[in-house]
Amino acid sequence: MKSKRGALLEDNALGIIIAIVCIVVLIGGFYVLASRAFSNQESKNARKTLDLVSSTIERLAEGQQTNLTLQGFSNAGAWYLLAWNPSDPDRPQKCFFESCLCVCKGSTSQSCQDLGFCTNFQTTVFTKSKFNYRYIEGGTIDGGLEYAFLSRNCVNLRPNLYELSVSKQQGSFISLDLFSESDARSILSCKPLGDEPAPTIIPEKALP
Amino acid sequence: MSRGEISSTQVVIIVIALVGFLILLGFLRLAFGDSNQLSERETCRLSVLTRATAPTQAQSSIPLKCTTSKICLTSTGGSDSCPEFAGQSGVSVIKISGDDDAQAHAIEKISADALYDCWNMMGQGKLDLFGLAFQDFRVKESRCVICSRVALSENIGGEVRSKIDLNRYMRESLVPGTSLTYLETFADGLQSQTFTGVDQQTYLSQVDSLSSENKNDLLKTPQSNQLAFVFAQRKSPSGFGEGFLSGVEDASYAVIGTTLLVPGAKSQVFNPTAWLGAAAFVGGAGTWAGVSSWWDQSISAGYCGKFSSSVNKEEDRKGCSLVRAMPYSVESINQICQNLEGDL
Repeated sequence: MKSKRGALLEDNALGIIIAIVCIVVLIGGFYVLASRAFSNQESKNARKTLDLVSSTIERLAEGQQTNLTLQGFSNAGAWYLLAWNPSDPDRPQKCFFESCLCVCKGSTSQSCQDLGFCTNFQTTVFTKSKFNYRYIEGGTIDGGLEYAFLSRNCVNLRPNLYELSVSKQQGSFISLDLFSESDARSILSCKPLGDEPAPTIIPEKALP
Repeated sequence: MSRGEISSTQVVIIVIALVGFLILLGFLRLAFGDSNQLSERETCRLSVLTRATAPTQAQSSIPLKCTTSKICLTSTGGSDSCPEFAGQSGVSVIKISGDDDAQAHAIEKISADALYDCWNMMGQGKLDLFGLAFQDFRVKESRCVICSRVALSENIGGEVRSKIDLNRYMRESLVPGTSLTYLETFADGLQSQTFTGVDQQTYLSQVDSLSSENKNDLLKTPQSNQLAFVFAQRKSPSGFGEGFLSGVEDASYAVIGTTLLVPGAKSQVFNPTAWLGAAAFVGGAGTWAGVSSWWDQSISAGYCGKFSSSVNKEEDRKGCSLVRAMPYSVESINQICQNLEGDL
């Protein structure tokens, strides 16, 4: 003879199954929609940033330079503007045949390949950020210098408003330049540029 | 009733469950999906409400789907009238016509509406949009949404620009569909023409107390022929007051401080005795020099106090919001915005 509890379960079995399925679908749907919307927004904003930079480059005549004001967005700090040219051995596959300017979630070739948007250019493209060593290392630069610069081959997007110098030089070089006195650590993952010697930093605690 | 047969009650329950499920899915799609069928304003308002009512830990996962409106005001109507928006999509070109007075009036209306829409879309500053989930290393940074950018094309002449008086317009004109002026609306419906403001002397004395470097930064003339209508919010455990200022750079102190630090302030529109807001649209004509920062604080509305929030701890619900018109320049906007949200 069936117990009372068993009979109750049997009577409501269909309702319970439907309820469980609905809850699972609802939670899954919520998660999928929310995560898609969130990453969509970030990617869309990164893509728009690249489009704006690219169209600015296209509008510039050779020898011209302009300052472009760019609007930051949520989690912009995870994105980088990177330039790749056919002479770069580790360029992403999507930039194999032509120079390209990419906005990538990360500062490596792989991140550009997997999580990046790129625009092709017929000419050589450069990206550059310049930071003050003191903001990275802290302390004082040996020799009492106020500033000593570090250049890297990327531009890290910012969460607020920022200005990018865009220039098209004679011989069709396109260069992007960002100078910032803060958030310098984010570009340490990018490749060093130029031959500026690294200064000696005297840490704060070593000061008399 | 034989085994396996579904009763009428069960059928009703299943139908209700399915309908409820579909409604919920529809709501989620509206909140998170590509809701092209809604206007940008409605989409923004809905995302603001969704985020404000979400549990605090989930807030940062809910995007604010507020797209910065780009408005180009021109007297000729050409699509390339505003070089500020070159290469950007979604630019609304609005041709303003008529004599100088009519053109100035149109610019005043568009600006007042932009300020009001921004304030309204963001819950009039009373919703907690950037709850504890946005706290970074226990620092509560300010977060902003640029609701709109309005640029004046070069073909709008100096005569028109000199006639723009946004202060008067906001004091005298009614918000469409209401019986309140813009100023009364910002002041929470108070039937008064008198608004507590910060007089110019107070502001200048605050500026004087800054270091010369910060003072120079603050008084730098913005090189922009374009206004941004910005919503900003910052939460602090001690509410509006010293908590709002702690950790803010000196330059921000002067701007935010004098704009909002009015004793007993609840919701304010600042109505300085020497109104220089109208000069804002005379970008590049020289009238900005020296008064630009004062103008900065002129067109603004603020709310400080407890937010409607899912945060339990009362202290964590306090903060300040403001909406203001300011030059679209790095120097100006970064004075109050450490992080920007929304769609470009």
